[in-house]
Amino acid sequence: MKPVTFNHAIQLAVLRIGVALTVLAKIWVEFDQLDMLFSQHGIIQEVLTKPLDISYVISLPKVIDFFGIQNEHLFLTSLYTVFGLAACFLLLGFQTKISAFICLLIHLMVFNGYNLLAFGFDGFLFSLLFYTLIFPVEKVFSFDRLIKGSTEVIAPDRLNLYLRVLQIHLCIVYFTAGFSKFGGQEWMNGTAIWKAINQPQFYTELTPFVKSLASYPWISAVLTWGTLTIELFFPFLIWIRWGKMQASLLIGVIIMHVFIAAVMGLQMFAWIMIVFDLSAFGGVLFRKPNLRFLAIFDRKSNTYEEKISGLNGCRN
Amino acid sequence: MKHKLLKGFLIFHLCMVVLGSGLMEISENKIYDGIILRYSSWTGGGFGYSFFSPNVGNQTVVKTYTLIDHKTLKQDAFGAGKDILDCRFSSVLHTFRNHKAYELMSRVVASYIFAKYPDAGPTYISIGEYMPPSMNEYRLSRKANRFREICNGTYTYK
Repeated sequence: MKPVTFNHAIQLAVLRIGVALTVLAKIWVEFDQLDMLFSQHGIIQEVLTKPLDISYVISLPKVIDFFGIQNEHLFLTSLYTVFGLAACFLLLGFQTKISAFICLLIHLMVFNGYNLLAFGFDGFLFSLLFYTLIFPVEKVFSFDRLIKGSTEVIAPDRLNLYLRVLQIHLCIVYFTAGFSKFGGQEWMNGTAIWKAINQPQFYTELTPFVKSLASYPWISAVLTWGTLTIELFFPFLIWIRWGKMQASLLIGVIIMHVFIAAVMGLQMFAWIMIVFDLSAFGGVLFRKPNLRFLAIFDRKSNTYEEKISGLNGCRN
Repeated sequence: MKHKLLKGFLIFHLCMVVLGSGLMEISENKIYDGIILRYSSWTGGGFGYSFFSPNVGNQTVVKTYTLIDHKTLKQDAFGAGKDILDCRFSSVLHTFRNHKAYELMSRVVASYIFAKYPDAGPTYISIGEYMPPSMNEYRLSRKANRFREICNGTYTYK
């Protein structure tokens, strides 16, 4: 078994497109509720935001205060419109850096101002937007590249570094999630999934069916321990090249997130995690890449592939 | 040189991700916490990733019973994941687990209810959690979850 890296520039395109689609989905579901969510007359009012205010970061309530904005509805609607336009540009890879910066800035302001309302999904979107800003995502499958007519590729050692950061970050996420559960009574006795699907906020149309299955203790235990095993061991096993293990593991975690989306209704969380998984390790699914296909993204794909192979001591 | 700087920054970033993840127990230190918080507030690196741990626990739900026009009783529930507003509200409810916070949230819910129903009379607010049946009970009789009230209050718009 040899350690292996899975590098391909397409993974950076997956990151950019996945993040942009996530932002658009977030805007789509929140647009009608902006006043209730993020205004001083909404569900989180000054009485809560003021004591929790952090002095050293930019946040939405601070911006509203600073500019003395009276019509919060108009401001929030305009802000989210700009957010949406920036996300569309990011999706297409047009003015990519500016678009990524605008998306990150708006998300950061909302997140820091109303982090009581935030859940896991927002944190991951924040992290991935930051990577979208600092990594050269505009160099792959983008309008920026087409307009410039550039054939310049990302230096393989740089690409190696960017993808390694994503990969290590993802491994830290899974290992922390698994490690913090390990020892918890419900996770150890195999009832955690039963408990989770019984929470009213995770009710979906599939819940009755899954509940009838998970009411058999062994099924609940398999699902609970399966989740724990994937989270604890994914960060180690994904680095080992042995048969189709890497691809199976990646598909395993993606199935876990699809299950979370379908059964627990956490579609946004599941989606951002799938984007994270594919942008970090998506290369394992394409060990024998179709070079004609890759050439669409990268005009020097043949030589490029050779360079990467040389760097990693193996072919993707 | 530029590559080395970038590499150095990304290594530092990953260190902050590890330190902020809660994987390692580091004694409470305000300076240390402040650095992690500052860094995560600007870059998104340094958040905890311990979802549903160490146990899943019961999520808090708010139920309201409002008398409209002295004759109709309207029932609403918050924190049950109906839409994005409800999901995010559920996140707030789940953050605080003390009586004072429940009272504060009850007032927020009451103000929402009075805005939603302009003809509302008194509204009774009940905060609690749903206790699942045992697997055996569910398998044998499809027994429903039981609501256990933690905090309640009656509010009127003046």
